[in-house]
Amino acid sequence: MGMAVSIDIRDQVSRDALDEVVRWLHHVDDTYSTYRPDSPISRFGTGDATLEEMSDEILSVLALCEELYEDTGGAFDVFAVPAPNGSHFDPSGVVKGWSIERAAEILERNGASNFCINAGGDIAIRGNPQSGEPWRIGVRHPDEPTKTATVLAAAGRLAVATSATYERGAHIIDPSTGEPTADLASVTIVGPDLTYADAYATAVFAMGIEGLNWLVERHPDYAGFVITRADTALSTSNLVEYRVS
Amino acid sequence: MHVTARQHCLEQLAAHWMSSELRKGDPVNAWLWYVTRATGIVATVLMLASLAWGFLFSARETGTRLRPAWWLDLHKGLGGLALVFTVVHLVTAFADSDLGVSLATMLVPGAADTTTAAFTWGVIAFYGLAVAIFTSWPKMLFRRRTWRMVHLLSVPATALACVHAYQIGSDAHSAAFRILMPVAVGCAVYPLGVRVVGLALSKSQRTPSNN
Amino acid sequence: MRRALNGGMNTESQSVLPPPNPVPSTEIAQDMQARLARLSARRVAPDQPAATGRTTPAMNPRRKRHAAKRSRAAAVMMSVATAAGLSAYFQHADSAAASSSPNTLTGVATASGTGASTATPASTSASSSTATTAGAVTSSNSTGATATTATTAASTLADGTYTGATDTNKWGPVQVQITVVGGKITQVAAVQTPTSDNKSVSINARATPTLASEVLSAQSASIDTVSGATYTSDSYKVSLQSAIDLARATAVQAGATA
Repeated sequence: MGMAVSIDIRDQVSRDALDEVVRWLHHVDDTYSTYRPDSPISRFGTGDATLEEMSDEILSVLALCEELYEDTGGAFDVFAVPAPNGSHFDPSGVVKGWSIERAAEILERNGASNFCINAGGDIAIRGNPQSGEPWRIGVRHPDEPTKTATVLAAAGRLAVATSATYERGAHIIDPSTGEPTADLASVTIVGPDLTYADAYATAVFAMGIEGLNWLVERHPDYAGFVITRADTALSTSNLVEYRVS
Repeated sequence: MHVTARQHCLEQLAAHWMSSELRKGDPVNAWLWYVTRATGIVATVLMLASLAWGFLFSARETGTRLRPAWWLDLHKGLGGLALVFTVVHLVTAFADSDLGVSLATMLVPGAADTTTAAFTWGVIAFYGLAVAIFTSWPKMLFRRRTWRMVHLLSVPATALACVHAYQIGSDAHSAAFRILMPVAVGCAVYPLGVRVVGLALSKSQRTPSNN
Repeated sequence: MRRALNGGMNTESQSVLPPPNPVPSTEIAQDMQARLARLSARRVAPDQPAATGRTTPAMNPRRKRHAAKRSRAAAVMMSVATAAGLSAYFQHADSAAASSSPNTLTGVATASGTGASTATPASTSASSSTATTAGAVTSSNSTGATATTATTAASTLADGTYTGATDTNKWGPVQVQITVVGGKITQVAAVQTPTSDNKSVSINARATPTLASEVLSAQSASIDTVSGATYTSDSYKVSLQSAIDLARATAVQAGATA
């Protein structure tokens, strides 16, 4: 996928644990990359492979895609996005968050309890960076890559996912129109599970500002922060818990 | 300096909030809301027009009795139309689920949870209009003197409709409303004044008036 | 290798997946047949003798003559046209307000409550305010006491709650209220202007948004990680996250050597 993953572990962990995470991420890339025409996901998307040929793991991811499609009223649609492999099937919106959440489980299983994984701006945190300190997570400013628009602080288990268009062009498609959505610059979702936070960020981006109302109504355990093209920001009231600036 | 900055912030925020607020809700409710406002305004104007035509018809001083049937027919037509628009106004207001106006609010004076006074005047105006129309149509009920007393309920009903429009406030703050509503009221009050003055004069001259 | 990796994920969730894309062709055929049946059923309808008044002109003798028939028709048309025009105008005005940024709401009306503890609008008025400034803002808290509080310099905002000018939305007059804590806008709320009677709770509850809005500002804060950049390998090199990673790695190295 050509995506940088930063892993910041504040505990002593074995080299094997890190290796396992790296192997897992390579496995995910091999299996789910829409950039590789020979990956099972690409073959399924282009119609070269049927559902029966998919592994149980892939089926569980596809079931998750369908669950999110229904939950978001179609705003999250893996069939709406033109994929790099030429098909109209791109589950990356689920796979990234899901795989990082699994990677966090691998680290936890190996004894790490204080770490932060950042995969292309989607973050899973556990524990604290130092004892008593919260992780401080900056949300990128849309126009100034080296500045932050807001800073969130949290300890324990938390996920922060951001969907945005400031890199790679307008890459989020509104399934109802097939056009790229334009009125938002970025959507940040904060909540317990990165799998869902990532997907909700994509869905809210497609829904526009109304998406935040959807989030408040359907998923009150997730908080949202939206930056508009007019350089104003909107947030759900529960974001206050995490916000430090 | 800092005041300007703050003001700028406020303006931006307010505009943004307003736009996000307006984009909420589904388009059907939005259109029901527009139609509710439009039919309310049109119904009020029609009531005023019907009133004007009624008094122009009954006042000899305006010299319009050359074509009495025409005047009377138009008066009735305007009144009926006002009732039709009022009913549409009520139906669309009820159908707009965002607005949350209950049947009781629309039909029982004083039952509204909010802006009770404004709703009450609206309900009374609706009943006044209905009574004025249905005691004359399809045929005139009561004796002429009684009928006239009942029919004159349309005057306070129209006044209450105007108060309702003003107090409910959805469009009362717009410049167009503030200019055009007094004009419409004036157009209706003029023939009413002429009629009242004419009546008073004829009374003082002790000339028997037959209607 | 695969086994070892599979240990870390939910392989037990083997839920049966509804086929997302291909629909069985028999289903399409059935659906289409049902549609065709409905279409042909509708095609028959107009040929049947209609029960409308058209075929029974005997209804007409009681027709009443309208002296102002044409004027009445004109009045009907004018009224309908006016109502339609007004509706369209309202729609246009609303969408214009939604798309552009109208300056209909301006200015600062009042400031109430001071200091960081805006949640407790008690009698602690000016005492908790820390900032000092040039232009003073009139402040009044809920107890009605007024005091002159401080505002900060230049572009930052003085702590407090500010209420904008009144505008009217669907639910009635509304004002936008912002809360400033520590020089930053922490909350924006819609405040429904209280009506003459105090029973406006239900509508107020509907109109109050669950969202807060603010003006964005670029900050250079100390952080551990950054959300919101779909890094490619190339863009990562020049990103804030890479700088943080580098700083972190350097710190770890320094800690190890020390």
